[in-house]
Amino acid sequence: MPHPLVGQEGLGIRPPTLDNPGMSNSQKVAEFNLWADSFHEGEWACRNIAREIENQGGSFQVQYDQGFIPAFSFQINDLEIGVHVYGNYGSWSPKPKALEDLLAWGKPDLVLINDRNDEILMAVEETAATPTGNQALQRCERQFGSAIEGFPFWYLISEFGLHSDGGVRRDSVWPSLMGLEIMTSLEIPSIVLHYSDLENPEDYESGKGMRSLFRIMMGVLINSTNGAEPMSGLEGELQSQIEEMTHFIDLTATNSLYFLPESESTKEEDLTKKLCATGDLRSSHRKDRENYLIWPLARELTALQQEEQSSRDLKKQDLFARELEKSIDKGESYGIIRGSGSKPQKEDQMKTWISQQNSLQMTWEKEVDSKYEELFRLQLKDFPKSPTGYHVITAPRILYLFDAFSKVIKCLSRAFPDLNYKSLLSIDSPSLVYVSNSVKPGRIFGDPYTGQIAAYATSFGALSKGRKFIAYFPHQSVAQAVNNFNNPSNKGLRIMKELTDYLVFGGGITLDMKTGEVL
Amino acid sequence: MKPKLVSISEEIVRWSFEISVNRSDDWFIAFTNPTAGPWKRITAPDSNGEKGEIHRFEIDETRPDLILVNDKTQLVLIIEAKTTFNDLQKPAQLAKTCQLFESLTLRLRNMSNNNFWGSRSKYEYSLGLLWSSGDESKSQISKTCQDYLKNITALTKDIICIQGYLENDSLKSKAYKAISGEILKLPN
Repeated sequence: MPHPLVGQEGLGIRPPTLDNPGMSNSQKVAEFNLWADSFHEGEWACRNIAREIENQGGSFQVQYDQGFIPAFSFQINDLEIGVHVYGNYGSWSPKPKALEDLLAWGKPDLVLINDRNDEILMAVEETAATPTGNQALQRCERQFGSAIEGFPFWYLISEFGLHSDGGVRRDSVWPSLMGLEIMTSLEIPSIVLHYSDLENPEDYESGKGMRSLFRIMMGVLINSTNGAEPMSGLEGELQSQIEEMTHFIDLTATNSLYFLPESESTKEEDLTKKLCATGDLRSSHRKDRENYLIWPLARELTALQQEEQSSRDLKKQDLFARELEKSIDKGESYGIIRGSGSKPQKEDQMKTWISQQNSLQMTWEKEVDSKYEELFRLQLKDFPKSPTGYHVITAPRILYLFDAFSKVIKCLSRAFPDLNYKSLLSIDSPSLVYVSNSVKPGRIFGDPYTGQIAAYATSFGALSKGRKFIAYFPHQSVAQAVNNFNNPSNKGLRIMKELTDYLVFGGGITLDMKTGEVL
Repeated sequence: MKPKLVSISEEIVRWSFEISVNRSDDWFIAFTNPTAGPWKRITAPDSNGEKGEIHRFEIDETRPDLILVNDKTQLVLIIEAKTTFNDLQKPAQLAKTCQLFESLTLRLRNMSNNNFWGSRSKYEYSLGLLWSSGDESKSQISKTCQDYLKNITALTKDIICIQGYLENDSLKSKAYKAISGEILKLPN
């Protein structure tokens, strides 16, 4: 059935037409539920959908069931679309199974569900500010969670934000890069939309993003009321959203990356067609995984790119981090992210965390082979002191792209000669090494680290299995991961199980994330 | 599938109260503080009814949960909302709320030159506490409000209590002055 709102050129190209002479005169009625992190956001979304409906000649009413549940009724052509808003996920029961599964990855701000069959139609994350630094990636785990559960996802984010120093900051490239990789690998919409502009930072009405999001939501509601596939006929709007993403990446990538590989612009049209044509996104379309960007091997870097690659000094000494840096000089790997800051940690906190890490490790050692004994112990004196605390940074970069997994293993073997990594030498694949120097117990399983892992692993080919992903936590005890390996409520480990291959903990003790075995 | 409400959170009590406020001719919401969204500004209409920004909170700045204004009775309510009364009794919360009330009241009282706030700088400013009714007793409420008042006695003479409660499956709220006991005709 043709979509009533889409002309030949689609929603993104020109205002949609309401003419639909082929449709019957009988009124179609459908009910939807908009679940939201808060009622404010849910009602805000519905009022913006209402604005788009009114722009198309439709109308709406709202009443409050039980005095507080917003119940919107949209009328457009011969359709009557009801949307109830349920704010604050934890206050309601029962919840649709699909929603429970999605929330286990983190709570999106909005989830639109068809009341008839409890099917999730789309999830939305939105931020009122431009997240900077570590925070820029903290919602990426929700973006990933939605993709892995098979639900279309839109992330509305301010492109320009006011920083407390009075300056204007621009959004990070990672959510957009990750979105394009998800769409290419899984063929599920994972769109990042930007609002605001340089003159009007954090202003929802500036820029294209907000209205584009609500045109999509309106289209999905109309399609579902008509019994059509949710994204059917929305090619124009979706294509323009994807083009905005690629444009944003082209403009901003080299602010934080040394370089960006060339992408094939013709892919965008194919991608949009696939995204709109696919109905059930949950299982059958994941066979032929591709990458949107093909990141080169170290040996393929141009002379100009190679010029920027050389080892750097370590702030806190660490044998594996030293080997990682040396691998750059050997041409075995390269760094892709420019710079990384070091925020000193307070002495009293450090003492507590170090004691907790050592205690966790010693308890674990009592239950396992003696070969791990005393391989990992933290001492405050090993951390360089600064006027405000202690530096925890070891490797001066967060990511290393290796040509061969075996080279990573050789780095590990040299750094930790008491452990045997030989069984891993046969693995043949390019690899990505991620380093998090966090000392606080458990922190690596929460914000912002899980978001970072989701963004980096996805962006560099983990979904297509193009690269092995190794995460290194020099200041964390392996015991935390072993003890929680089968704990379904540990969101961080769930993401790591999906996206990483090996976790290397303090002392070089390595956990195989596919088997749960400590090497 | 339509779900049922199984627990009342701070956000839900606040939300239902805001709906009542929005239905009132006398009160308007100058600020609300949900978890996210384009709402971190205090706004108010000028004499021509045109809405403008009074103050924009920084990301890390402490914010109240609600600011309500009644131009008829010339009252500004700065409200702290919590899921339970117990949350409002905690000493750290009391100190934080009183400090915020003091700094915000002084800020707003010094905005007589602001086009959108202007004469509202001369209004009476009161602290409101909003929560979902539980097993707290009248004496507990009275004592806690007196503790709050001790910290801000130079700025206000009473504490406004707003209690959310369920009645016949509908969320409602009642408002009264904690010390004098006067029932208030706040939106309901």
